[in-house]
Amino acid sequence: MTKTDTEGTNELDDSKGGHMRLTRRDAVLSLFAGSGASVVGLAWSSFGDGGTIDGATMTDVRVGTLVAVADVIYPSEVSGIEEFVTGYVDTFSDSRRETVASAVVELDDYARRTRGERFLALSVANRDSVLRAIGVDRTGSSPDGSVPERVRYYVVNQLLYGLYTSPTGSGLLGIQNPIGHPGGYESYQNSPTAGSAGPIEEFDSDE
Amino acid sequence: MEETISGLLDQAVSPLSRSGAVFVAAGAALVTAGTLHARQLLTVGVGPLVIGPVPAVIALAGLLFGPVAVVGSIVGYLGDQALQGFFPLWAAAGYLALGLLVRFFWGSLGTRANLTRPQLTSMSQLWTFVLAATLASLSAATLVAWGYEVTGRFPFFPTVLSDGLAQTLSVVIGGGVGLAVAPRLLGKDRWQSAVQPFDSRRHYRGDHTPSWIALTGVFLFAWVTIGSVTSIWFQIVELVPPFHLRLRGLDPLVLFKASGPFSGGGTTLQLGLGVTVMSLWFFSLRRWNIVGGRDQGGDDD
Repeated sequence: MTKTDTEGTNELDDSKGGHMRLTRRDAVLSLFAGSGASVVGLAWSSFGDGGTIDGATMTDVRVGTLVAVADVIYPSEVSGIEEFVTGYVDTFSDSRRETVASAVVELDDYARRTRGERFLALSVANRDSVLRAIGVDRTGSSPDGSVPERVRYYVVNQLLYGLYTSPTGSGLLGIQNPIGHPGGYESYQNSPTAGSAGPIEEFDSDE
Repeated sequence: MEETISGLLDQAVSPLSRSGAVFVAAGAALVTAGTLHARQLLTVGVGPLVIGPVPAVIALAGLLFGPVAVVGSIVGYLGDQALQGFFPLWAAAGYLALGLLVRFFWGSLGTRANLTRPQLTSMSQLWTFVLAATLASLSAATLVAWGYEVTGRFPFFPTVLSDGLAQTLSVVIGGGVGLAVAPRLLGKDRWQSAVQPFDSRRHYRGDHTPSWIALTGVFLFAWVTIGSVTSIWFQIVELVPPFHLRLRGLDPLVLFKASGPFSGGGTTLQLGLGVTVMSLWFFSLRRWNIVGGRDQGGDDD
């Protein structure tokens, strides 16, 4: 085994079957490569948009996917989910529809990659499993974050917001007059704990 | 010896007639596409882990029929997905790495024990397969998780954990069963021309095999560990509002949330880490004469 000491390295000649090892030169070159990649990535990210899909349209299949997500995340007491979600999506602005559709595409892509089927085609149990696998139950919510964060923001939270700001959904929480919906006078006729049991006279008679 | 390159590059240009290569690649593409359509029946979901047949089929293609079959499988995978309107490039890159690496690791480990034919008929073959499949699966999953991180799609952690475990289990279980059955199915003469046995002259690295396999494992472990810690750190900091950090005198931590070098959840750090580890691994393969070097019997650099 012949030791060579070229350019300050402890490179060892392995021609006779001796030790083979990485040299300091290899380590420095690797660090330079990594640092260079980071700098290039940093410059690139200042021009990028976080990897969102532009120009996604809200097709019937994507509305169906939103309904499929709602089937999983909405309480079992809620009925008429398809009509509600379809009507709710119709209220979105064009830009909102595009960003929500973009997140739906990402979710569908993930379902296809891991399960081999569109999210819409999966059973409710498998949809629940896909949502947990993608991490939406434990990630933060961000409009320009990673796929789980965008799915959480544009799909899960959007659907929950739609439900719980409607009279049907807020009623599940005991709020009879959500902001933006009429019905305040009626709610004032009920007892605070009676929900929609009846007018205030009925509450008085129980007393 | 005639060969002037060895290891990975040698496998990539392993001798196969043009018609044979087309036959093998087309067959692998069809089998992969067929598996994709049947995989819902063969997929088991255990929490976030999804154990499916596709990684096993691609690993078997690499082990039994070589790189040509792996490339054919990837073409079949991408073609089938494109017909559905999806272009999962990082997943395809991961499968490509899996198919090539599992053959590479088996070739290096297996030929040391004279296991020139990929099959499971003894305990030594079983352990060789499990080690090769685990290393290849974790390497491929790490590459994919890194790709998702640097493109801003999924965080490195827990993607590397869930994908790594799922892919390892898929390959070890599905590939193990396939490798135990395949020699019987492929025992007929008409298959023999397609099956590519391992040539110890090309793959055997002498007594250095344990060293560079261990080094590969160390690089992989370091990448997964440092990448996961970095990813978890940025996810935690991201969840804490800046107000709470400032209130507790932890203003410097706001730097990790603010725009600048650490924006994007540490993506730039992950990019640098991944390139550094892959460069080191590549240099180590060169030092061990596995890529770009000369054949074991020739002169060294």
